[in-house]
Parts: sequence; structure tokens; C-alpha cells
Amino acid sequence: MEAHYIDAVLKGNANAFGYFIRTYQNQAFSLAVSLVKREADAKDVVQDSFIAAYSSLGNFRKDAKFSTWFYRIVVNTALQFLKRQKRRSEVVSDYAITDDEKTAVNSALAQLRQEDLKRLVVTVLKKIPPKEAMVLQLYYIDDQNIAEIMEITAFSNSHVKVLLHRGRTAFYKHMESEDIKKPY
Amino acid sequence: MDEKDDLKEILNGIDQLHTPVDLEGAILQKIAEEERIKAQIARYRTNGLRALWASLVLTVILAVLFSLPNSIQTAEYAIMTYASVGVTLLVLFVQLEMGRTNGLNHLKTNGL
Repeated sequence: MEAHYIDAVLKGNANAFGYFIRTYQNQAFSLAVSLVKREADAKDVVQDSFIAAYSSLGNFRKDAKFSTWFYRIVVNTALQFLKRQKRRSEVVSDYAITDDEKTAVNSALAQLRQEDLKRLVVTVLKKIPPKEAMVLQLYYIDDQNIAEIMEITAFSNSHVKVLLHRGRTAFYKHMESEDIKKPY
Repeated sequence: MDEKDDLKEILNGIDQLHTPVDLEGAILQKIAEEERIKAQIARYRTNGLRALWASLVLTVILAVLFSLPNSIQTAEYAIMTYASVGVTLLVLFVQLEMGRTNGLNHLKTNGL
């Protein structure tokens, strides 16, 4: 299916690229927001990523997964954006969280309505440093496994695991400071 | 890895965190614009190459004209001089016109 649209684009039918935009724009947008935080900036990142993907579609290996290849472009574009903005990745304090605290947060989250949970997760992800938030987004929301995250981010296995651990701990710590019961 | 699984279970139902966006029109428009700019650059490049070749040919003609022996008659010498000046101006014109020089366009639009 995707190969058909790729061929059409490579033959000069730019409108066939609309298929990829419609299919991947929302996930790409969420991924970009996790890194750049502001939605307007994330839209710019997604737009630039699609244009970069269009220009380098000729280099795409058809045996690879388009989504992985494209999300890597999104991640690189967002990281370049952060670099241009001189927004350094904040150093995460080494939070410590006990099992009891985690259980308390988990059970409070489990009782939230889906929409409230969504809003709360968005709020908390904005407070977590870019790379940690990106890995959380890919792992928990986009349902990518560690190997896929490694491919998308070009980070090593241990780096992804460290980011995931730090992100998760930061997520719980920020959740604790949120008033989970209030309607979001 | 219990903590990870708990969170995964809780966040499992969320497939889309943000309100859906529709960037298709804007992106396709930008792509079309980039394609237009690329085509324009390709056209300028072709024109530039043509100008380069034309200049090369005219410069060779100039070289031939200037290398003629100066023992020839005065009238022929005058013709040769004027022809050389004419060809030089032509070379300049070709370069400016095909390079779409801003200054020249400005003069053409607003007059001398």
C-alpha cells in the first residue's frame, strides 16, 4: 500500500504524498510536542519533517518501515529546533520514588476518566525534559518497543532504558504534585 | 519491571494525546512552492550555462579579431575595432540578461 504511494510520489505526483500526511501527522505531532513542548512549534516541526521526508523519499529503502523512518526525521528536526532555540535538555534531578507512592499514583490514575487522564498526561509530559518525555511518548502512548525506539532515536539500548527509567520516575513525581482528583 | 507494566496498562487506552491536527493542505502547498523554486533554479542554471557557452563563442571571435595583423588598411582596422566593441557589449548583454541581473531589470522597468 505505502509502496504504491511512494512510487506515485517518486513519479512526480506530489498529491500522493497527502496519504502519508493524513496517516502520520497526528502521531508525528504528539511526538514533536513531547520534545518542543509548544504546540505551535510542534506544528512547524511536523511541517518541516514532512517536507524533508518528501525531498529525501528517493533515499527511503522500501524494505524499511515508513513510520520508523519518518519518526526519525521528526525527532532529528525537533532536536535541531531545540538546538536553534538554545533550549538545552534540562538535567533531570535523580528523583527517588517508593513503591507505595507509585501504587498510590497508579490507583488514582486508574480512576480517572479517559479525557481527564489525557489532559493530565499532556500537562505532566510538558514538565518532563524533552528526551525523557519523547521516550515516554513513544513507549507508552505510541506503543513502540525498545528496539523501535532505538531505531527512531538512534540512541543506544542502555540510553533508551536510562531515559525511560528517568522519565518514568519524573512522571510519577510530577503526578504526585498534581491534584489528580480535580477535573481536567 | 512491575512499575512499567502498571503504567502501560493505565495509559494503554490512550491512542492520541492531542486534538487531531490537519496540516495536509499547508504542507502540500509548501511542497508545491518548493518544487516551483527548484524548477526556477534549474531554469536559471540552464540559462547560465547557455550564457556561458555564448560568451565563450563570442570571446573566441573577439580573440580572433584582435589577433588579426595590424598591417591591414585603416578602413578594415576601423571595422574590426567597431566589431570588437560591438561583440564585447554583446557578451556583457548576454551575461546580464541571462543572469537576470536585478540592476538591469530595474533599469528596464524604470527606464534610464
